[in-house]
Amino acid sequence: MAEKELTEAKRARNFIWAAAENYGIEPLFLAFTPDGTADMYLNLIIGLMYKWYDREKIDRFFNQLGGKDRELYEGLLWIGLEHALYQKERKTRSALEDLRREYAEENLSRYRKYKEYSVIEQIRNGHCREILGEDSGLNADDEEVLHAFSYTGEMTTDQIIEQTRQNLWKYFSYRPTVAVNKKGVYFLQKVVGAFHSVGKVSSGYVRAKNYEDADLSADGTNAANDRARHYLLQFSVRQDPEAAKRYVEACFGKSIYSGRQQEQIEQNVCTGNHKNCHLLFTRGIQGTVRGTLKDKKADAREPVKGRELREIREFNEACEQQCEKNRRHFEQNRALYQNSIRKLTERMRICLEEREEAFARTAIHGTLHPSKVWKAVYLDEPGIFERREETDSPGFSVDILMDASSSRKQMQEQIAAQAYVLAKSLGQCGIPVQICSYCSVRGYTVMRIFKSYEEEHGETELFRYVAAGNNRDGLALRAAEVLMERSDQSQKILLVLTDASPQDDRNVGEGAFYRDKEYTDLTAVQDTIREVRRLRHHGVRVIGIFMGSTRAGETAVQIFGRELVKIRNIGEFAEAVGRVLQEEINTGKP
Amino acid sequence: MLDKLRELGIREDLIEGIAAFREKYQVADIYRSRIPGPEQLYYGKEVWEQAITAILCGENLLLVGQKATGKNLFAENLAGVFGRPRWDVSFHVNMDAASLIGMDTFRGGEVTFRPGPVYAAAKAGGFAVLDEVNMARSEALAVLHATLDFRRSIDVPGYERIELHPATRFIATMNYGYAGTKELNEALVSRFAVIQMPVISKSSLIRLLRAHAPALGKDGAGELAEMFLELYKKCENGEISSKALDLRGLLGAVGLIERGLDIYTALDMGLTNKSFDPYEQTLIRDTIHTRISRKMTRSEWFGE
Repeated sequence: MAEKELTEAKRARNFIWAAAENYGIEPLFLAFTPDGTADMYLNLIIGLMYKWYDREKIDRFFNQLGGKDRELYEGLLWIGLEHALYQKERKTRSALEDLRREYAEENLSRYRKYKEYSVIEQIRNGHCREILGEDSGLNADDEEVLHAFSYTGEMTTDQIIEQTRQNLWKYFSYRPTVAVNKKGVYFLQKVVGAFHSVGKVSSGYVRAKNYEDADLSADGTNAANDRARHYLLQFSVRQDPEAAKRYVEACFGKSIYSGRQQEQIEQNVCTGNHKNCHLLFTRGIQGTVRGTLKDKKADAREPVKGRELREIREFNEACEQQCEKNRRHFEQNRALYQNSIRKLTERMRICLEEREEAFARTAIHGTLHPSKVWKAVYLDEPGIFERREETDSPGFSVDILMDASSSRKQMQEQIAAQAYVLAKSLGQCGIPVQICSYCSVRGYTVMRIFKSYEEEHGETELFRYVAAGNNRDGLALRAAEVLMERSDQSQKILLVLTDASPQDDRNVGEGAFYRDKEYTDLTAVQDTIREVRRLRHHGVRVIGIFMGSTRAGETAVQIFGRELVKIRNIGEFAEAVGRVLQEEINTGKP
Repeated sequence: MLDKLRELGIREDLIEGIAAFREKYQVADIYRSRIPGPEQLYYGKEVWEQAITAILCGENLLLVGQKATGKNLFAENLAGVFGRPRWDVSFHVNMDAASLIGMDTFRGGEVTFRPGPVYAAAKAGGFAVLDEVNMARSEALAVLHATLDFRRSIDVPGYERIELHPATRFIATMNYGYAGTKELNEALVSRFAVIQMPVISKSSLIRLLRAHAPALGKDGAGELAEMFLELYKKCENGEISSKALDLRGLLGAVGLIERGLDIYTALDMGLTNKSFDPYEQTLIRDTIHTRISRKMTRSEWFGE
C-alpha cells in the first residue's frame, strides 16, 4: 500500500473523528478527491453524521443498500444527509458555509473536465449548483429526485431512513433489503468487497477499508503458502513435552540454558496463567548445524520422525529463504537505511551529550567553586574551579522485544531492516541494547535473542528474523524480564513492538473451573495488562510501539496506558523508538 | 484582585479567609516587588476554591496537568491573591540541593552562605513556585522533604536551622504527558495536596483570548477556542504530539493577527510550526481549516 494512500486515509479519519468528537469510531466511509487526497468537506460531513445521528442505524441502513445502482442510492442518501447536516451544524461552525461553497465550486470545475455523466454525477452537480445559488440545470425528473432528497435539519435518524426508503421506492422501485447473514460477518465482507471502487473516486465517498489488515493478505500466492505452513505448525500439537521440546528446538535452535537452569526459570516464570507452558531462550540455529540440517536429523539423541521431520525441514528452509529475503530487502534499500542509521545516531548522540552524567573535578579554570575560594586568597592555590567530566555510560539499557507471530508475516523484511537500523545506531551511541523476538509454538514461547548487550557487531543476526506461530504476550514479557537481569545499568527500558492482540492455542492453566479458557481476547489482554504493570512495578519502563488496526489500538491503550507510541507503518518503527529514547534521555533518570 | 475572585463566583467565606491571611502576614517592603500583579487571571472556579482552601489550611500544592492547562498562570495568581512575594524555581535534570537551598560563596574575604530561592522564600514567607518539579532527580528533591512536611524547617549543613515563616507555601507544577514524562516519587507527592488541572473550558478560553486582545470579537474568539479544543482532543487521542498544543502560541498568534498578519499565517507561526513533523503539521492545519474559513479576514474578527 502506497505511503501516501495510508497517510491520506489516516488524515480522512482525523477529519471524521474531529467532527464526530469521538476518536473511537471506525467510519464506514472515507472521502477522497480524484487525486487521492482526503476531501475536507465530505469527511467533515461523514463525521458530523456520526455526531448528530444514530451511528448504528445509519451504518446498518447503508449496508442494506445494494444492487447494481448502489452507488446511486448511496450518493443520493449522502446528498440528503449533507443537506440536513449543513443546516444542523451551520449555527455552531461558521466556517462551514465557506467550506461548502468551496466544495461545490471545486466539484463543478472538476466536472467540466470529465466527459462521462452518470445520473448520480449529474444530480450531484445540480446539488452543487444549488449550493452556489444557481439553477440546478437538471431536467424536471432529476430535479424532482434531488429535491426529494433535500432533507432538513429537523429530521431524526429514523425519519431520514424512512424518507429514503420511500424515495427509493417511488423513483427507482428499489427496496433496501435487510441483511440476512449474521451481522458481524456480513458487515466485514461488505466493507472489504466494496473498497475496489477506490480507483474511480468520482463519487467522493469511498467505503473505508482497514489498510492495516489488508497489508496482511496483500502478497497473493505466497501468503496462501505461508498460511498453510502456519497451520501446519499449529496443527501437530501433541501432549508429549519432550517431543515438543525437540521439535521446537529443531525449528528455532538450542536453548542457551542448561536443563537445570531452564527448569528453574520455568518454575519461577511459568506460573498462574502460564502454567504448563514452556520457554525456550535461544540464539537460533548456529552456523554449522544450519548447513547440515537439510540432510541430517535435527537431534541425534532421539530421531524426530516422519511428518514432523518434514515440517522441521520445511520450516528451516523457509527460514533460510526468509533470511535471504530480509538481506536482499536491506541491500536494495541500503541507501535509505544507512541514512536512517546516520540520522538516528546523530540525534541520539546530541541528546546524550547534552545530558551526560558529569563528575566535578578540581581544575584551574571552569566554574568557580565558592567553598574553595579562600584557598586562592590565603594559600595561593589556583585549583578553586570545577570542571565536569563526562562519562560514557548512558545510565540505562534498552531491550527491544518484537512480536514474531504469524500476523507479522507480510512485513518480515521491513521489521528485520528496522531492527537492524536500531541495533546499529544505538550501538554506535554506546547504549547497551538487547533485541529479541517472541512467538509461541506448541506450548513453547520462543525467545529468539538476536543481540545481547555486550555484543558489538551482532546486528547482521537480525536478518534471521522470521515470523511464525502465535504470540503469548504475557509470558513473553515475563521471559523478557529474565533476560533483562543481565543488564548492569541502573535503569532498564523495555520497548515492545506489538499488535496488541495476544493469543495462543495453549489454554490458560489456572483453576479447575477455567481449565479450558483459551489464551485469547479478554483473558489474554488482561494477562498482558497485568504483566506490563508488574514489570513497571519492578522499575522497568515498558513502552509499547503499536502497529495494527484501529480497534486493536484501543486494546493497546489499555495495555500500555500512556506509555504508547502508535505508528502507522513499520517504516516508522526505528524512528519512533528513537523519539521515545530521546525523550527518555532528555528527561533524565528517575 | 479579590473583586475579580468575586466576579468568578468564589465563595465569600474563602475570600474573607484570604483577606484575613493578608491582614495577618504583612510583607516587608523589600519584597513588595516580588508580589505578582493581576495581568491575567486563571478562570476556573472549582480549581480556585480547591487551592484557596488548601492554602488556608497550610497545605502545599501540586498542580498536575497537561500542557496549556494554565498551571503557571494559576501559581502566579495564587501568590498575587494572597499578596505574597513569589520565588520561581525552574527544575531541570542537573538540579541539586545547593541550587534550591543555597550554596557557599566568598564574600568580604570569607566563605559565607548565599541563600537559594527556597531558603529565601522560607525566610520571607513567600510562595515558592517549583516549576516542572518532576524534571529533577529524586535525590535532589530529598532535601525538601523536611521543608514540605509537618517539620516545616530547613537545615543547612554547617549553618543554622531555620523554621519556615508561617505564610510560606510551596506550589509545584508538573506536566503529565505521553511517553517520556517522569513520575514523581511517592515520598514527595505525599507532601502535597494535588490538584488535577482540567483542560481549559471553552468559555474560559474565550474569556482568556478576549482579555488578551480586547478588540477580538466574540465570534472570532469562539472559533479559535473551538479549534484549540479540537487540537486538544487530537492530542489526547495520540494523533498529534503536544507540541502544537500551545496556549501561549495561540495568544501570540492573536496578537499577530491584530497587527495585520493573515490569519492562517499567524496560526501557522503560533501553532502549526511548533511541530516539525510534516504529517502532523497537515493534521493541525486541517483542524484549523475546518474551523476557520479561508475567507475570514482580520477586520471581521476585530470589528472595524
